[in-house]
Amino acid sequence: MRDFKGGVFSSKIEGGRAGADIQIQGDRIAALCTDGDVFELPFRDCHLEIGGASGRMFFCRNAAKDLTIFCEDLGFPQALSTEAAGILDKPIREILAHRRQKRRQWRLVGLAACVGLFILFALGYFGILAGARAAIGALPRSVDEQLGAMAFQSMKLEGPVMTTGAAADAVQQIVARLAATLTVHDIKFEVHVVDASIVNAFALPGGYIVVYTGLIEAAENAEQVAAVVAHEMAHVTMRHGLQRIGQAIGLMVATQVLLGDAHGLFGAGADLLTSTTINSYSRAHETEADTMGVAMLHEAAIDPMTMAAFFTILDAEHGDVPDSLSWFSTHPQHDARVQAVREQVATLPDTQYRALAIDWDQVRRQTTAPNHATTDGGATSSR
Amino acid sequence: METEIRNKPSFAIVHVDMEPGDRIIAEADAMASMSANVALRCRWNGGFLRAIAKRIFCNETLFVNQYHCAGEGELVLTQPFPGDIECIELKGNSLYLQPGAFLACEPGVRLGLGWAGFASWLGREGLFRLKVSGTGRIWFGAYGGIFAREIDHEYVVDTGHLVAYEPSVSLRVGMAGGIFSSFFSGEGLVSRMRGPGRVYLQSRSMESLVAWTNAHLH
Repeated sequence: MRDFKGGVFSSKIEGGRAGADIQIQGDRIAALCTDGDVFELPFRDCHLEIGGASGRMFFCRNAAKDLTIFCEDLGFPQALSTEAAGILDKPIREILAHRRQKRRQWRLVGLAACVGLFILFALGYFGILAGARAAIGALPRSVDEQLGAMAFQSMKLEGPVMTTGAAADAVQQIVARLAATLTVHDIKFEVHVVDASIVNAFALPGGYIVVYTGLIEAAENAEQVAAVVAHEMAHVTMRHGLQRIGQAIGLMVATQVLLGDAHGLFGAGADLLTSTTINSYSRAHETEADTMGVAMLHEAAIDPMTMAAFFTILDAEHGDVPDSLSWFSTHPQHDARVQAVREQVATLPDTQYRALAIDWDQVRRQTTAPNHATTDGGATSSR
Repeated sequence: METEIRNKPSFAIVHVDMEPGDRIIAEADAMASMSANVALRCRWNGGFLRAIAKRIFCNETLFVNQYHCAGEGELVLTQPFPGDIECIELKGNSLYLQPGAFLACEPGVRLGLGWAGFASWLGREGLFRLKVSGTGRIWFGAYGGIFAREIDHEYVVDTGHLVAYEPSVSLRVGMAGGIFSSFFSGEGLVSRMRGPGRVYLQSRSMESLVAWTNAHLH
């Protein structure tokens, strides 16, 4: 005879309940309590129910409901069904079938709830991004200028700023030619060429553009520098800096509202979610800036394929982040950017491109000289 | 071993009069005072991995202390927050305790970790619960007073008020009323419990106190 772990509710027990070994004996269910008490329930007086915290606990109760024997063992209903064939096997089958049906229904409800939540989150997420974009669009450009000025003043540049000289003049000329193509005319671009061997350039809200001499040295011609500057000017024009701030604030508020004072695990998850979604959206900004940069170059009659050429140089000389980490990178992969530029250029009308009137050799002589500032009489200022 | 719960219900303590050979297991930091001849031995709360799981999922301490008395002695146990303490005797049956409720037990009681399910999590009652089973007395505490309800049909409990319940009781999360009433009545989601079995509830909710305090911080 097999014992099943279970328990019994009865007013005859002090406290009303006790754990028990459940046995099926002949025509009855017996509960043998740890203190020696035995409770019996004949099959014919037994009413079956299923429930409990696990949802699979069998309750065998008498009609008066003053004795309940319960058991959670998975083998119990099968054993009871066999032993009480003709009396309890049918109700057991019906209960189990009803439970299976309920579980199927709950699975469907759960699935529908998951899909609904996913849609709600997606709508909320894209709503925040779109809302931030719309809100930034309504702000006056003076906000960009104030923020950009504050950020630029507080930044520690990695070298002295070259205020005059061939390199500074060249970048100024590039900006002037590209700015003429813009439909937005209330941006005052301020270019700073910084004497540092960093192959980079960046833009701040309001029109602050910083180009490092390392980038000029890496470029093969002035048009490639123009491609990078066009990309940075596109960031400024499309107000990507302010949009990122707005989106970050929106997502932070949303996660705070949703998760509240949730503990470390959720907090870490929220931080990761915020950083990765912001990075991912920044990639969208980079792609937008590439697209607008190509259009600006084309409008300014500068060969837009120079952008693809510069990406190729970057890829060859500095490599790219591994594919596995690309999701976390703020910039799309170089080969993808080259391909995107090629595809966009293929859609542009034929234009006679004009070279920039820049003495590239003189610019390179200034940027590659040991003391950049004195090569052609240019001046620098330190910050 | 004679025990008495004193200072009920607001600042309850468990007063234990120990006789030679008596043992009692209590969560770390539960001891308020004890006789000098009561020996204390600290051990992992159910083994290393189980202790970590209980710490993370059930808000229980990593270690439990076993108090042993060679002669006669006194031990006073308490909980970190104001509120009542309840004692029940297990006779081979089991009880689920909500995170942080466990205070002490006799050596015949087993402490296990059980999956509570997503319904419990949605009802802000935790993904896991502590399962106490075996034979012997256990003591558990709550914030505020403790009251028990013997339920046979559906019974509604607001989130944050559930302290303990028997395995024969099912729990599902639901709304207090209609959508509008649920969200604007301040009740929101509730636990809908169905017996037969007993549930232990606390008269105050720690989460509500935290929310109330946050709202009044400047």
